[in-house]
Amino acid sequence: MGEGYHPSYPSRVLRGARLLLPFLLLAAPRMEAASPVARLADEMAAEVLRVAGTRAVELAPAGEGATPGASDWRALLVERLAGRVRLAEQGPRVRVDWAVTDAPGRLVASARLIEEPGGRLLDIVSVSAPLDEGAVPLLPQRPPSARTTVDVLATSRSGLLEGVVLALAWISDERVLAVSRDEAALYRLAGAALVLESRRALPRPLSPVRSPGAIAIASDGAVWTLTSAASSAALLALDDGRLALRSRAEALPWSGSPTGLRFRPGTNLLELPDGKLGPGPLLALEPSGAAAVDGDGELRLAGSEGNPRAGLRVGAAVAALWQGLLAASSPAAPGDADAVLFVAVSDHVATVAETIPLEGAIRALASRVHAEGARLLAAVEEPGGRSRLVLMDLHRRGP
Amino acid sequence: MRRAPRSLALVLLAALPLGAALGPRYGGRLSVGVLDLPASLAPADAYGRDASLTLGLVHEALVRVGADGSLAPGLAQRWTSAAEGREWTLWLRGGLRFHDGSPLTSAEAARSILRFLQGPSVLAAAFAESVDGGSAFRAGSAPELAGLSAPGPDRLTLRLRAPRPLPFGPLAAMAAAVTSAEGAGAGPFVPTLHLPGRRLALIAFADHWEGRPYLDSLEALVGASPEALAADFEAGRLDALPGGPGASSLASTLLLVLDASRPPFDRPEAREAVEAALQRMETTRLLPGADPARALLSPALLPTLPAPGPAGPATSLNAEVDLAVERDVPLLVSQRLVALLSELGLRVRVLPSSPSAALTAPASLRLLAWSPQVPEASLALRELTTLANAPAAVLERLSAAEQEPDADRRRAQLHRVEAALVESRLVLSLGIAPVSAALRAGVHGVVVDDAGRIRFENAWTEP
Repeated sequence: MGEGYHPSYPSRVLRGARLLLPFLLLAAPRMEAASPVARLADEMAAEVLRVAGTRAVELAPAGEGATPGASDWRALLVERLAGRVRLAEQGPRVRVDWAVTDAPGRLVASARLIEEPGGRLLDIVSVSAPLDEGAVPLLPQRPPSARTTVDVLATSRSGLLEGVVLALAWISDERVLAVSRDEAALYRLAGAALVLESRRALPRPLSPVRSPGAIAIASDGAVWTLTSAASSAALLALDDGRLALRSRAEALPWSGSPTGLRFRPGTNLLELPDGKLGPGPLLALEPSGAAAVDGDGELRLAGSEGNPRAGLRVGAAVAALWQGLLAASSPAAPGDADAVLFVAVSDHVATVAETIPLEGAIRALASRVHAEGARLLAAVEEPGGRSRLVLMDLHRRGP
Repeated sequence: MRRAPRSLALVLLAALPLGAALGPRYGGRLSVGVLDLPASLAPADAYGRDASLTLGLVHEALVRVGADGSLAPGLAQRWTSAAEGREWTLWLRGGLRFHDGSPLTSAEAARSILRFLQGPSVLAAAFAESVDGGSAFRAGSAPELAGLSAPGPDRLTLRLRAPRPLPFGPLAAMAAAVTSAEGAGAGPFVPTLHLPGRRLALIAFADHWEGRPYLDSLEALVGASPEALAADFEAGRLDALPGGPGASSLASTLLLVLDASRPPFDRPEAREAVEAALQRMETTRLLPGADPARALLSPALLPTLPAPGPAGPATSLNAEVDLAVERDVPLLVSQRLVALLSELGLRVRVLPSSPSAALTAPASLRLLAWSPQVPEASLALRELTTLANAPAAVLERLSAAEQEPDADRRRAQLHRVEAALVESRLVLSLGIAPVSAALRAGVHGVVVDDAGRIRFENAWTEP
């Protein structure tokens, strides 16, 4: 609460959050007892038993148009009631008309309990269970079909994270730093979840910026971060499992620039002294310095014989993959859909080799490259002002 | 070898739209078509799509309501409680200013709260009940509000009669917006020209607490009719048209309010007959995108439970009734309702009304496209109970829910209040309808919130 609050528009947020519910419900029967869905079924069973007493209970089926997986949640509820109450669809009974929804950070189940026959309303009950903020589910997606330049071996998509992720940096093969307007969060990839390991506020005071920008550059297990809202750059490192502030600086240190990197006040534009990438301002800068995106959305490539302009428009996120291959967001206006462009660079000329559509607007890309393989992480903003991470395991095709 | 690929790349570049948008850009202006403009830009309950749109451009409240129904920062960036939840201190952001450049401090915020409490807002009445001395102040029997003080320029203290889970939610209402002594607002746009009934011109407010809006300027132009506005939009004279297909949110309940003090609706069976007739409303066919659930609140405010069993058969009624129809209600819906009421034997006289007039129209039936002033379930139900003139038993249930600290029990109690209102058949839902705005190509960032407000503060245009 307080500084750094970015307004969100509730209906959009709820719509976004609802995307998670089907996954949670579909996975419900396989979830361990302590999962939010299982806890929700426990709570609802207790309420039903409280109202029904010794009477038989009828659980209404999942209604038409119900959330996918709602039948599975009903099965969990049946499991918890079986043996403790008689389940019946005829005769004197308490009928339970239920609905499962999700709110930010919680799953909610509400039910109308009706005496049958007769249809007399006995009670309305509502229970909820908190989603586990510390472990954001990472759900497998169907990888795109075979490609000519890059094979996408696997794709997974996280649940909603708090706030809008503006920059990403891998600090090891399993750990990634996600930078939002006013804080940095360290996540660990653990199987089918992103486990939140630590959070740290960025240097105060914060300036009002309607469309903030951020950059994160990892080096030797630490990350330099700078956002256009924070008052200074911060060097963050892991210290006993928590993010610790190692250093602060007025500007983000940048090789070859005595003044470092700064954001133009009140904007998401990075100021960069004239160099291999040409003069700023920039919308995005690849941490290795190999590429950047200028204020007009044109890709710039380092070492292009004095002319870094690549003649290709992309979006405001870029990450280097292998030699001669970049990933960038698409130049379309931010909206409900975006795409990862795989950009081939040959003789300082850039062309789009592959396009992989993604839902939401890509705000940041970060890559972790190993020989012929790479992991690409995209932070995707949904209309309600919250982010998901999309993880792609890539393999390079051919030379 | 190098020349050819570069040429190819340039061709590709040319094929992309020039000025392709990379994200929000500063600059540009928008023209928005509306059917009406408020006579005054002073903070007030914003009834109807146009009033909430225009007042929302100009004003800002101390707090907002977040996605989970809890309070979220606005001009006040944080708050702390003492005295076991009876005393709350709201801390204002630093460096706040009004449109006229004057500083926004706790003195102006306190004065705005007093103005709110003296006004007609339903939520002001609710707030007065919760603050120490609020009822006496609102009634005019106390010159000052005992439970309000401004111990420093950056903080306000509110003392409540009893701890509550949403202690100052009503302050998120438009009517509670903070203004300067001269009436200047602190919202994202500064009004520069206001011609009631014709035009409102605004420019971006550089000192808005969230930062300057992207647009340089915005104007709201009044059209003679929905058809005239649609023609202007098609002709490119308008950039945004509320009501058209585009940015959208299920944020409006189509409500039929029955006046139980007027025959034939003083008889419960007459109200039941209307409810039964409404089952043939076919809202989704008439209004694509609508949710046919007969809930009173949108699912964003309170989860929608499966509908109770079907109402009994519609019995015949023989009476003459007035039906006030709010202007924002889609024509197909009001026409279908009149047909269904006529089939019941009612002779219906339709009274077209503005959104604010429809709320108090002296008619047996009122058909409204209703959105809450504050998108939170208990406050929305407070509005609905007042609108429906609900029985005391329902109000008592609502009061109990408002004070329930446990979120699950509170939600269940709010469900029961909604069910009791439905059971009373004083207010019937025809479904949850989208509030929307059509946007010309290249306009982005316009959103509709859960209070049905079309918001332009993050709107931007492609160059």
